[in-house]
Amino acid sequence: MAPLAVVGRGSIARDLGRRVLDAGTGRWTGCVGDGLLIVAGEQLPWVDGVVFLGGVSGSPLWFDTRLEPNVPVPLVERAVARRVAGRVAWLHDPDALVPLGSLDVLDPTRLEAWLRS
Amino acid sequence: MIEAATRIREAIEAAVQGLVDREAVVELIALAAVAQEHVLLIGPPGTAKSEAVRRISRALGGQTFEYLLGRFTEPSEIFGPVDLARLRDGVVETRTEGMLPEAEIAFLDEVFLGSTAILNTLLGVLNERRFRRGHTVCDVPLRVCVGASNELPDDPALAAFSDRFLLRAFVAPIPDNLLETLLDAGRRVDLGQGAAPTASMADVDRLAEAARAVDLAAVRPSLAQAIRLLRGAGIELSDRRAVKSQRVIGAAAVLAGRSEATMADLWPLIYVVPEVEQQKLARDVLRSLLEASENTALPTAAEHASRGPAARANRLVKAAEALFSQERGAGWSLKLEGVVREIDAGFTAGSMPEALAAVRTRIVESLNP
Repeated sequence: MAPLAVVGRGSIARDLGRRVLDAGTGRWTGCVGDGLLIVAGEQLPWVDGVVFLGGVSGSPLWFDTRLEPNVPVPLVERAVARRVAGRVAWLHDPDALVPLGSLDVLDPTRLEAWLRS
Repeated sequence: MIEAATRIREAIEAAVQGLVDREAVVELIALAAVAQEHVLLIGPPGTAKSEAVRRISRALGGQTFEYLLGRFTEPSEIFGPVDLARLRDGVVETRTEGMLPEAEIAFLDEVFLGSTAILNTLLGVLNERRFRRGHTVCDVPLRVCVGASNELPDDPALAAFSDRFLLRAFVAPIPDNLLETLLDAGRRVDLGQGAAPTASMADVDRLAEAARAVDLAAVRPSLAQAIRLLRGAGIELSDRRAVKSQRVIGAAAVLAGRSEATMADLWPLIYVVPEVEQQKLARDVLRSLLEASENTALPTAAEHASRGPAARANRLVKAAEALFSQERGAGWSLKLEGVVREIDAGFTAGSMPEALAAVRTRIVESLNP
């Protein structure tokens, strides 16, 4: 699967945030959360420890590009849709479903504030 | 054999410099030359098909003949004019100097537009390596003929001719995500005009002889199973194509430095499948059978055929090594980041081959000094 987004958690999320600020935030959309940063777009930023997310063509479910579900993806999509509507990132270790409906162009001021918090 | 394979590998590496997304085409032509088979490139105009052929021809040091066929192309434009001096004696001989019958590598663009006279003569050249026209009968030194066309012909009358091209590559315009790379490469890179060949036809011939002697016993059952799987999916390979696929499998093995074919060498079977949608289906159908595919001389073609992790890892290692051997100019670290991004998007720590893990460590150290 081609990567559509990259996710960092904990200290890796902060490293990723600094990398995004260095490169210029206007290139990507994303969202920040509690110890979590998701960045989506082309030519994604990289820092050691990030995980890349992708999805089967047209699917609203994005998951680790290195993994392959052992059940058909449409079944997983339906199960997830009962809990979270719209585009969703399915993260592992620890497991989490993160709604991606609010992916906006990353605002540098907001990202800096999040890094300081 | 090892030295010849090394020189061919270096020739391929030289030929792909500056080409974007056409590495598999160059590699397939080299594979076909060693297998003594022919290649058909199908794709729209302006997709660097002829440039890819020219580059590998130059790098292999072969005597090359190239022509763009049209509906009104005369046989003399391909095979040479009639010898008028001999004609006065009542003998119809062809002067072949510099023409296709003397070529070691031939490239025929719009190959299916040729007249019946041209294609009938070509059939003998491609099949038997013999040129027959009038009183002229001679062996030709042709190692590989590359035909190109915008699309496969519908006309059943052309099916026999088309079937002589064992390997098929379908060339699409550069994808959006590589446009910047294409524009940059097209502007900057020397297209290798006048670059000295890095291999020779003698190397090709040495490997061709070795390819014919490759022991296929270990993979023959898997090859038969692969053909059964393809038939089960509605992809029919003619008996001729099925048998001849062993020649390209043997060629892949020698180019990888092996005298016995292994599961890593079955991937050329994908390029023997005649149509583009069938090739896509074949990749899915044969995915687990081709998982071990890899080839150090033909990394991109192996990866494209198999979509297998071993071939992908091999390509990424080579890409990283190529970057480390370059000067660290503008954009170097971004390119390195692109390689590690692809590594981390495709491999877990547990699934990463040792060579790839080592290269990843080096990349991380370079990007985080």
